[in-house]
Parts: sequence; structure tokens; C-alpha cells
Amino acid sequence: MTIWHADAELLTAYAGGRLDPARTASVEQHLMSCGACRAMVASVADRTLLERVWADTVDVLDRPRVSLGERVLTGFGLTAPSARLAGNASTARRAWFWACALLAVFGLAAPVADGRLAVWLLILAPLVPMTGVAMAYGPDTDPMHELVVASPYPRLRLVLLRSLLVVPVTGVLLLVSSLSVPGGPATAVLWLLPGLALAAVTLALEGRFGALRVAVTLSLVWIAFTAGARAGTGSVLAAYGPAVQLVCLAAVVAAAAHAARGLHRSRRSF
Amino acid sequence: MDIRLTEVAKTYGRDRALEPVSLEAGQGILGLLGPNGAGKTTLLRIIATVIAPTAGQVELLGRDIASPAGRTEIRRRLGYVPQECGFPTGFTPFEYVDYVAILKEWVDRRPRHDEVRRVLAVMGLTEVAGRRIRRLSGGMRRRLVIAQALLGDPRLLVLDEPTVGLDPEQRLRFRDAVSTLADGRCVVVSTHQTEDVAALCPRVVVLHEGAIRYDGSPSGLAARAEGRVWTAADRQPGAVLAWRSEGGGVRQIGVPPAGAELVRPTLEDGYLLLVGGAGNRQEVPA
Repeated sequence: MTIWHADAELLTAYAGGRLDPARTASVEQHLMSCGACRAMVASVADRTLLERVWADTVDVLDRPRVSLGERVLTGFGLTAPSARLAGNASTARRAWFWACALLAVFGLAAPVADGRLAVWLLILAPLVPMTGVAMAYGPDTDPMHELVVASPYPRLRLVLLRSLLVVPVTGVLLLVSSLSVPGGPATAVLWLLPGLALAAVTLALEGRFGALRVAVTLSLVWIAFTAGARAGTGSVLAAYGPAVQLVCLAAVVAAAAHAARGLHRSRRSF
Repeated sequence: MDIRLTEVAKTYGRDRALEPVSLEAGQGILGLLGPNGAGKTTLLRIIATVIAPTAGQVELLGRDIASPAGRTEIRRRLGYVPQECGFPTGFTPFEYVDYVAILKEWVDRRPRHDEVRRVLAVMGLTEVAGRRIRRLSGGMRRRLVIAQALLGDPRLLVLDEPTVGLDPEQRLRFRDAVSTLADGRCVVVSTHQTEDVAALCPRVVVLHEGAIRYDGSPSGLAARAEGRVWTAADRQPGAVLAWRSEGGGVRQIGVPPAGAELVRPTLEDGYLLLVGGAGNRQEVPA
């Protein structure tokens, strides 16, 4: 038990942060074992300083966890609040889950599959990024949708932010998985432009017709188109000719211009 | 006027959810009473700018909701508690309110987090701010949804059935919080609890089958049942509604027989009489 006590002057200097580090450490060592001096510090401490320190401590403790997705997005230059909206939406997580599930299916099936897997890949893969976009916004997939609509945050900006993580991630995952599918690397990248085009058109039209409705309609059109091409020519590759790729490129450019204009105006709809 | 609705109607396909309704409201608390399916939620979703009316004009805080810029301005000064609200998986109350705060354009982290802490404290949720939402009780979750509506001291507060799922003590705390909020802002509260309206609202609007059936003071609504409420040992032929009251007798609303023991009507009596027996009282068979 200690018998020495710090005097009031020393404790006042300590509480005011005016001691050098060595003496601060000594006083702190003593305070750890001396109740009387601790009580005295409490009485001489600057209340404003204490409140500020306490508020800072609480702020650090309360700070929400930052997910991996958010870290990646802030690494790419997005602001922390934008990254939070994009990376922490449960809608985005669900889209990730489905992309990973599809990856697993392709990955598992590849070693035992023949050319049919490539056919399925070419029919279904372009639909995946679009599905991600459709799931990013709307009453069917977002539990907070009602609050999102009633908030001043620009709707298009939110949809784009949420798609920002979903589309590249699902795209990369699918690309990796499709490399293992018979047909070679050329087949693996064929679907990229149509996939991007479908996602971009969904983004452009969701404000007017609802993302889910647009995605379902485009899916049906795309499946009918690829199935028709296969029935007509015997190969699904006919649906990926240069003309189709050009149309897709034009659709991506047009949708991007539309989105940019929309973002600029920050137009909102119900 | 903070709210000005002119001949506002809403239809879903062939279903008419809201007949043409006109309503004006300024500062203070407006209670919206009505049975389930009366159109309360439709009306509040229109006032919260979530859905557009099929017909009519809606002006909130001086701005027309038909214009996109007007809607954004309104939403900046709006707090909204939806009737049903889901929660993202894995969120804590702090993260949930923080997420809404970002949607409400609180960009700077420190002031945003201070505001999140403030509204959580107002609703008594400081202790559970770091717990997962799925571990909270129904009452706490409801308070959490109310907390997010208080972000930024909104000028217009739209609360759709805010007291559902709250226990009596929590309801009392909620009333206390809302009554202190009424200063300088317009609060619209929908409920089918007449006690909430009696305790909170100087003005009550009764909505029934999509139309406004009453608009005035709670005492005025109670007065509508003046001379129409009585007690007797058993249900009597003139009663539209009858239920056993605390004293053991049967409280009845309708056309009292001659010499009936009339009692002073309450807000609930006036409301039940107005909506024609659509209340939730256990009826005593004749």
C-alpha cells in the first residue's frame, strides 16, 4: 500500500495535460494504486476536457464496422458514406451470394461437362450482372425500401452505387468460372458485352418501369433470342455475332449517357 | 400550412383506397383514426412522398410533391415511420440509424454519429446501440424505427401506427417524446388506439372506407355520442354495440330506451358510433 500522495499542484498539472511524458507516466502509475489521488484528480480535472475525451472515446467505440466491400470501394476513391451505401446493403450481399452459387455450379460441373455447359453459360451468364442490378433496389429485395424512397438521397445515385459493387464482382467471378468451361477463353469473354448491356439498360429503365419488371422482360427476350439463334443455326454462338456485340456496345454507351444525364439532374421519381 | 391536400385520391387497379380527400394541417399533432383498411396507410404514404396520388394536389411544407425538386426538399425535412419496416441482416441499431442518416444526406461522420447517438438516446436505445437488431425485442425495434425518423429534427413527422408492439410503459414514453416534439413542427400520427389520440392529439381525423368522416377535436368526437351511450344489466334492443364494462354492467352505444341510465361518452364511444361497429370490442349477444 502506498503512503506517498501526489500534491494538488502536480495533479492539476497532470489533469490539464501539462506534464512531460515521463512524469505523466509516473503519476498514472501512482493513480492506478491510489484511490485518494484518483478522487483528487476527479475534482481538479477540467470538465470540458473530460467531456471531450469521453465523447471522442464513445465515438470510437460506436463507430460501425467497415466491411471488406466498403474498404475496397474507399480504396478506389469513393467517399466513406457512399461506400457504406454501396457495400453494406443486404441487397448487394444477396446478389453476391447468387453469383458465388453460380460460380460453384459452373466450377463443379466443368470437369464432367461437355459442350452443353458452354451453351448454358452463353445463355445465362449475361443475365447475372443484370440480376444484381435488379436486386439492388426495390420493395421486393430491400427491407428498407420504404425509408429509402422517403429519403432525399438521389435514387439513381443509390442504384448506381449499389450496382457498383455487384456488377464488377459478379462479372469477375463469372469470368473466372467461365474460363474453366470447354470452348476456350474466347467463349468465356463473349458474354461480357451483352451482360454489361443488359445491366446498363436495366439501370436506364428501372426508374420508369421498376427494376424487377425490366429485368424479367429482358431475361425473357434474351433467352428467346439465344434459343432462337441456336434453333436456327445449330449454335448459340450465332447470338453473339459482331452485329449483336455492336448493338450491345451502343446500348452500353447510350445507357451510360442517360445515367450521367440523370445523375446530373438528380431527378427522382416515386 | 404544412400539409395541404386538395381532392387527393388513390386507386390500385379497380380498388379505390382513398376517395377524394381534402385536408389542411399546420403545427401540432394530428391524429388519424380509423379501422384497418380505412385508407390511413395510403394517405400517410402519400404524405411521406412514398407513393403518388392518382388524382388531386399535394402540397407539403409549401412545396408540390408533383415536382422532383419539391419532393427532394420535402424529404430533407421529413421524418417517416412506416407501418411495416424490415431491417437489413446483421445491422446494429447504431448502424441502422447511421445508414438512414447517410440517406438523409448527413455526410460528415462526427456530426452524423453525434446525431445518431442523440436520437437513439431519445428513444432509450443507448444501451443496446451495439447489439444486433435481430436480438432486440419487438418493442425495441419499433422504437428504433421511430428513432431514425427523428434524425435532423424534421419539420414534418409522419408516424404510421407507431405504438403497435409497444408495451404500456413504452407507449407512455413514446407519447411523452412525441408531445415534446410537437413544438414547431407538424406531426401526423395514425393509430387505431383511441387512448393514444386522446392523450396526444388536439385534432383528430377519422378515416373510414377511404373518406374523412370526422375532423375536429377529440372532445367533439366524444360529444357526437352524447345521449347515445348508456349502461344496463343486459344488452338492450337499441344497442348498435355493447360490451361488458368494468363495473359489471353492459355499456351500450346506439338508441337508448326510455329511462336508460345515460353515461358520459368517451372518445372511443364517439369513434365506435361513427365507424358503425367496426371497432374491436367484444360484443355481448342480445
